[in-house]
Amino acid sequence: MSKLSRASIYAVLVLAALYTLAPLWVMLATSLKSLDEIRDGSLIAAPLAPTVEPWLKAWSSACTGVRCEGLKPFFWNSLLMTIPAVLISTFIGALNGYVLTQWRFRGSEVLFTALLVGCFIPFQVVLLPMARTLGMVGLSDSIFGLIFVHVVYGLAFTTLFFRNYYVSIPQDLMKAARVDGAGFFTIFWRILMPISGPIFVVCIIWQFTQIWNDFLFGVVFAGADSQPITVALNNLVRTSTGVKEYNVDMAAAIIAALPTLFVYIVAGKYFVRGLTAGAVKG
Amino acid sequence: MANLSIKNIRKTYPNGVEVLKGINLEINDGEFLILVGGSGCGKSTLLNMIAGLETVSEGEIQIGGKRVNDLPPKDRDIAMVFQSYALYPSMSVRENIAFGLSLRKVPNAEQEATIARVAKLLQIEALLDRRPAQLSGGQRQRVAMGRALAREPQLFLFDEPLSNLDAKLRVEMRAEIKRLHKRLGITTVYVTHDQVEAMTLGDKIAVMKEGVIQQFGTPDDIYSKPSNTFVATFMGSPPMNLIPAVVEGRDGAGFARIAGDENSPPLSVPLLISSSAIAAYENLRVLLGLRPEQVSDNERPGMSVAVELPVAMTEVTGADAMVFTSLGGVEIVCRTQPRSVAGTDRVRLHIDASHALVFDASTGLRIV
Ligand SMILES: Nc1ncnc2c1ncn2[C@@H]1O[C@H](COP(=O)(O)OP(=O)(O)OP(=O)(O)O)[C@@H](O)[C@H]1O
Ligand SMILES: [Mg+2]
Repeated sequence: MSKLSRASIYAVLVLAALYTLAPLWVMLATSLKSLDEIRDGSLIAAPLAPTVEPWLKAWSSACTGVRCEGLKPFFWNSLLMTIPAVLISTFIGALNGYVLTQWRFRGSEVLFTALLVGCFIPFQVVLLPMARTLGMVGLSDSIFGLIFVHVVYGLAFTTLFFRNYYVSIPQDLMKAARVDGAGFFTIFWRILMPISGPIFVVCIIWQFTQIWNDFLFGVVFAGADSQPITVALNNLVRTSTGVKEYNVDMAAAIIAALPTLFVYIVAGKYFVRGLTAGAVKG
Repeated sequence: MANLSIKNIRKTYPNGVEVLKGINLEINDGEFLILVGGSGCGKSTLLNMIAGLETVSEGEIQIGGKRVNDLPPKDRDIAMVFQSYALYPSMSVRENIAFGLSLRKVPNAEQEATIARVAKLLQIEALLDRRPAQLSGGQRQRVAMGRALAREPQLFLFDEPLSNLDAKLRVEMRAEIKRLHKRLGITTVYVTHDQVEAMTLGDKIAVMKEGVIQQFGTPDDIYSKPSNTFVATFMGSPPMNLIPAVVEGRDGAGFARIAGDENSPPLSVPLLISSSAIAAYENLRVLLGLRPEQVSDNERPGMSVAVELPVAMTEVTGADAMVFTSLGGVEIVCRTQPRSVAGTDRVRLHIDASHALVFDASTGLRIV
């Protein structure tokens, strides 16, 4: 490859990176400026006198509707909802994938196809039936209700992930384990789990992003005390006390996005690896 | 320790294909059964059913006189080596071997001793801490053997356990398996494609084709009295020659008359059959079965028929020379000494009629 074409490839890549990073930069810069500086300065200029005031306000004292405690309580709500929902849906998905590939039964393929359809059901469709279900089982307006909704909705995806991963594992492995005396769960824990790292990462990132970023289920099914951070962010941005505090809004938006960012950075390299990992060799 | 009895076993997979069509086998305690047959004839399926890994569609399997049809694999007291090795990818070789032991609550010290014993036996001591992915095919195969040999079950099931080893290791392992079987006396079912393995290891051989047992008997039976042309040509290398002929009675003696062609004269090979058999088979179109060593440069007075044939090709394999020629319109292979064919394009051979076999040409079944 010639020097010129290499240089032009890099130029294109750098441009694309700048283009993608620009909004993040604007958000970050704005969140560190005082309101005066925002009014006077340019949108993309670096803050002249950086201040963490907007961050502190967004975290602990900004008004989200009638409450003025910042995003803090909602951040915990989101964590309390997301972590169990991700873990439960991932774990059940792993079990489903295991059963659908290694313990096939009459109709297991049909069941899998039916589950796949679940991936294509839009959120809006399940709102009403889900509301009724939650009401009947007494989980309305609570974090547990939200966890339940996200687990149910996420199962189609997590099952799909694990099924497609486990389908490449040879049946003989299960057979050998059964001859060795291993039962259903022993095989799952001792043989399958240790080779499932990449797909767990993929599944957890996917579920974490979906559940943390969800707004619709949160706004519909959460009670006033159990609202997730996405709903609170919306309220925060829309609650204005006279002047619009762009710096606080930006800081709040970044706070709301930080956990997903964190998950990607920590687990990102496994993400790609897991998505492209085909057969389990050896 | 146990005998194994398989009664009228059938297997139909959920996709509707009938893979096994009524298998009957019976082996005594401590016997070594070889299963041979073409690819896809159902050997692995049968082995899996004995292990309890596939359901039995019809029929009965007994181990040690006890019906095991509905017993899960772990309660059948078997150990198995899989065709695909099936080593646990996340475990080291040591853990692979110990897995079954620890699940059976064998004390740690005993596990260690067992691992040391099989590792030494299979020459895998240096590999104990490696993962399967870090092993060659042959090494994996030995670890798979080791996993089975770690226990002393009622029944060993081996699915082509030596197929990936190099020739030398294969001979060593074959001898090792034989020794082990002598010492432990554990009933064994062993699938192989290898003629030599089949003939040397087996007490009994079952030759299968398309889910049906063609013949079940001792290695000697299978080799010298194959029940049909499939078994005759399947066992033995190079395979038995089958030459079209017609049964003929003359002066109270039976002959197989081979028609002549441009290469060879017409020929009558005497058959060792009774006069009633001659009457029954007179003029029947048959296939005369002659192993390569029965068409040789070795004359047996009284029972030999001499014939001069053109040499199409020769292959010298050490002590022997394989001569490719044709007789009665088909290609045949003969085993001679290399000096008999050196530099000639015609060779004088003797057909040893004393062990000639005769198969009905239309059914393929052996009649003599
Ligand atoms: N799970 C299954 N579902 C449907 N058909 C199967 C299944 N497993 C095997 N078969 C079919 O059953 C037949 C016998 O398979 P099997 O594995 O027993 O053959 P084999 O004799 O062991 O062959 P090889 O020597 O190649 O190992 C094959 O035609 C195969 O396609
Ligand atoms: Mg097989």
